[in-house]
Amino acid sequence: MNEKVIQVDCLARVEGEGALYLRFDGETLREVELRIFEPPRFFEAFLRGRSCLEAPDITARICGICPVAYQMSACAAIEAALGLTLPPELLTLRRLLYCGEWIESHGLHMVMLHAPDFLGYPDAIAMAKDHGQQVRDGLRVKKAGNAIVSLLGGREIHPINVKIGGFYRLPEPDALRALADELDACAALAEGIVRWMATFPCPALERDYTFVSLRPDGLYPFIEGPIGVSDGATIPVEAWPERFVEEHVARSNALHARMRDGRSYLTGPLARFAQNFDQLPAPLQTLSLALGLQPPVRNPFRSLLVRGIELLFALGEAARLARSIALPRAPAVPVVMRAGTGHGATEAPRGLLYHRYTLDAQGLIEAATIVPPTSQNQLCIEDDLRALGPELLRMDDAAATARAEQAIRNYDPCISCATHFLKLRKEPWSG
Amino acid sequence: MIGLGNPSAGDDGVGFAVIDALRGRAPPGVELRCCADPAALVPLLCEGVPTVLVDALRSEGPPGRVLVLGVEALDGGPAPVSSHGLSVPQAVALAGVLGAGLAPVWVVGVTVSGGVRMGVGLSPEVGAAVERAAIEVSILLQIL
Repeated sequence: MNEKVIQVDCLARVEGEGALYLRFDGETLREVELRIFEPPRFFEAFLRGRSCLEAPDITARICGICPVAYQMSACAAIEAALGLTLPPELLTLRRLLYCGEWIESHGLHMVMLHAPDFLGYPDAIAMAKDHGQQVRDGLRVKKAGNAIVSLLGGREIHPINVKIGGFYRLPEPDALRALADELDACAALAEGIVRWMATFPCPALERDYTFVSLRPDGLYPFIEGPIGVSDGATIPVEAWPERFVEEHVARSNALHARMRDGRSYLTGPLARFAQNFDQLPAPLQTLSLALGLQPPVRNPFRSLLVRGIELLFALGEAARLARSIALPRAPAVPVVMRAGTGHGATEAPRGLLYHRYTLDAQGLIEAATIVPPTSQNQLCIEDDLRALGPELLRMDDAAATARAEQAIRNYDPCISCATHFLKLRKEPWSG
Repeated sequence: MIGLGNPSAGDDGVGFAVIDALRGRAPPGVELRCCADPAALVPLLCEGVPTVLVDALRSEGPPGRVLVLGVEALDGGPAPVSSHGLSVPQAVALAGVLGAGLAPVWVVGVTVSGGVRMGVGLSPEVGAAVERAAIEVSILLQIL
């Protein structure tokens, strides 16, 4: 019997320690496993017994590339538990901060991590020898995102200015407005990057995803609910546990999320784009269609371009807010502790990030649940690889490994704390 | 002069501390910068200006030694902690590709021990090395 095993012992250019295992029996792909062997990090346990006021700063340490998302979901959940209502000006400031994170994350992923896959380079440094201007532009775009996070978050990495109820300190209006011109310049550069990427060869694959994302009225989502499902369902954020479930699987230290009816589902740019396309500004809708991105986009490799549309949206939204935002009178609303449970979901760059906290009357955390987008997408990643199976089987080992990794990077997975090491192994069929 | 590192990660903040020690005593024309994200190092190196990088160096030896290295010593250095960022060696390599050619780059490293310790503040051994590192930097500035 002819068996082929494609095993990538450690995935490079993804955030975290993961490995990929594909096992073929003849023409049949028998096993697909995305193994996450990074040690458990116990953040939910760390939080128990701590003041809820500490949650934004503690959870921000979960990820170096999307700390704002963790802060935003923590704040949303705890503020819901405490019954806090923030004025629109504070929510708009948070939206601007979130734009900064999307700009950083999308810009970096598209240019430095994913583009080399499409062009056959081992990494961005090799790609820069032939496409230096695009790499320079990508770094400049990322820097503009860093500047937003630094101004509103207090520092570029693991920002510290977000608190339950708002912010510790408001930015200077002049400093905010000063961001706008560079954001405009970067939007022009980013459009060039997206048009360049639209010329890349794109593998063919169509998948029948169930999309899950926030789907607010009148806004492309960052921090606004409710949750929309592409089958038409609208789910209040607090109903997340009734509709979704996390399961432990032996091969992975990350929990796997699925819908309670058993379906896998996809979060992230493709899901947001499919469910919120009409909330994009008209020029971006036009550009999307001109690039062949008719929603819903069901080819996961096209996520590169959809992410690019979201990058353009975040740059434009950030410039608009930087010019027009009305600062609130106070940086935060008063916080009064009470017992309760709160749910929060926001759109991290790579997908829906759900938090739930139960607090006692003093505001100490009795229970915490954090469901990151990568654990929600993991089943979809495996389904994509299963769908690619016949194509991978026809490829030589190096090409198959590269294509499988490219498929995983479609999700910009964030597993946290990576090493760089690749190894492909073939094993004889052992029955 | 670019101090690298993370002041919230214990001894990894030594690059920033050396820059702070040099404020007010750097010669005219010398710009002092701090940089927490090596990706932000790339455009700075592409400016083609002679540069001294100051950073913590992980070492099995005693902490607090001050080493002066050529940039080529960074070749084959460790992979970044996060794959969503560049390591310093990668940033230097990328700048070498993107720039018209790197101006001289020197590295002044202060050895630190073991893993990352979270929290602000240097250990006594590394803190004691800050002034020696600042002196080494000052000497380098005279020859660059």
